[in-house]
Amino acid sequence: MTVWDVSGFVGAWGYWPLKERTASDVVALMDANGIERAVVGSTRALQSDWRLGNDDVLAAAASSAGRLIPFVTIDSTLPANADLLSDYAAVGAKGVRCYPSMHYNTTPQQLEPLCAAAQANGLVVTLVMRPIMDWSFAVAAVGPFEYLFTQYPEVQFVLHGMNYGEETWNGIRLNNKHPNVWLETSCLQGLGGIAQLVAQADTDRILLGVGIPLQYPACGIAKLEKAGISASAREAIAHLNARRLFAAAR
Amino acid sequence: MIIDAHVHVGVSTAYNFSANADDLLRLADENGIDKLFVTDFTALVHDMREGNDTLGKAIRRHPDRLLGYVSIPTMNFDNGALEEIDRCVHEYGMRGIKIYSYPMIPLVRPSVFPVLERAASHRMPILAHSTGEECEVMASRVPEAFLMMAHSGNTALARGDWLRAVQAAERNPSLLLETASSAVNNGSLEYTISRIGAERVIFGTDMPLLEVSVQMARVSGAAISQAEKDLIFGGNMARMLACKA
Repeated sequence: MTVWDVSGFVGAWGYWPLKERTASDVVALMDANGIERAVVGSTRALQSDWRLGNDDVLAAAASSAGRLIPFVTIDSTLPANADLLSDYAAVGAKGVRCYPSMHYNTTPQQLEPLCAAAQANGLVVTLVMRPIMDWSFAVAAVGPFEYLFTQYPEVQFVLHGMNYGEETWNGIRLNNKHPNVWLETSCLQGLGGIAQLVAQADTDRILLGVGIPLQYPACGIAKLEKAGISASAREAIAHLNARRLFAAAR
Repeated sequence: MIIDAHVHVGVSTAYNFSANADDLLRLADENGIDKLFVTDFTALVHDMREGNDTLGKAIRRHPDRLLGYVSIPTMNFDNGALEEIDRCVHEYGMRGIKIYSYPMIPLVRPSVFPVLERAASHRMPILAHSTGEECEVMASRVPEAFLMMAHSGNTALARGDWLRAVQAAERNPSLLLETASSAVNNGSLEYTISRIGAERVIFGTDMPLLEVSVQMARVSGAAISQAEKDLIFGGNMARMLACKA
């Protein structure tokens, strides 16, 4: 099974000892687990310096021979920062990750200029509920951001970080309601979670998230390999949907 | 042999799951798990005796596959818990005890220690849904008990602080850490073993709440030796259960 991880990271990690810090570390981990390509954001941009983080992730992607797909992060509290997105797109960024649960000042209204810039530049917007499935991280409520899906219909939004229960149900509801909302699986740990998504959401807008190198690659891949779904659905989630998403992105 | 040390049977409206013993055994078979160590959800949160009886009857139907925890709600620690433990040991041959901490009803209180002591006297492992801080208190007060920290700190209750759980285990040699969790932090199992050894790590899935394949992959995919995986998957639990009172 060919695998793309849409939920990867690159950079140092301050929460627990982690061996994989550099682009070559992440690519080696991908090789060891059969992951062909990974969308990566900068760990530095999670809580520290987003500009340096973007430099990190763009450099990492440039050194990876196409294995790493860079997403940048923008401090959205100043509307003018959104103008930088076109510069980042020009040097290879394929999307932008927004972390309302980590960047405490973020309001939905502050993301409007960013979404407008993403729409103008053909970039994917990932709305991160939680960066990884770790109980020490706060979880963002997606509800207040929903109007953005309608206001920017050409933007493809990826909901990142939903787990079981109401988070899954809400993700499915948004996927059904908005044709530009995609769901990823890196934090989806409930029994039969992927089968539930396939049964109730649009299979063509479900993306495999593994969360390398912060999460065990084997865990993210096993849940798709073992899911009680058709072979065609498995292939779509494993990589075909991601290929289509990024082929559509400029 | 693979023994899953963290399994729930019954109906949980709160967590939106429903599974009887046959459902659980089907999941076990699909994932190559030999034995399930089970707690009844009704016993834990609603009616202790009713739930433990339900589980006991399931154990009688599947004596080679199911092991039973006597589930003791915190409110019962000083209200029939010791009698219930003895009853379930004698009537159903239950082998462990399950206790559960809530933010508003923490399990560490004076009445928990007789429960731990009774478990120790029966040589029964205790699966405690709790925090590192709570486990430090319990393990230091009753070090002869086989105390297993459910989820190894990877819960909302314990703020996801699995490093704190490892520290608690480092300071308390009788404390064991159980693996089930939504969190799958890369390197966490390797780090845990480097600090306390594989002999004190116990495999669990939290089925039917969590995806079993993910919980299996956390151990099978970790960068540890096959001997260490074998201990975690079942060797350690088998060793504990072989200790007779």
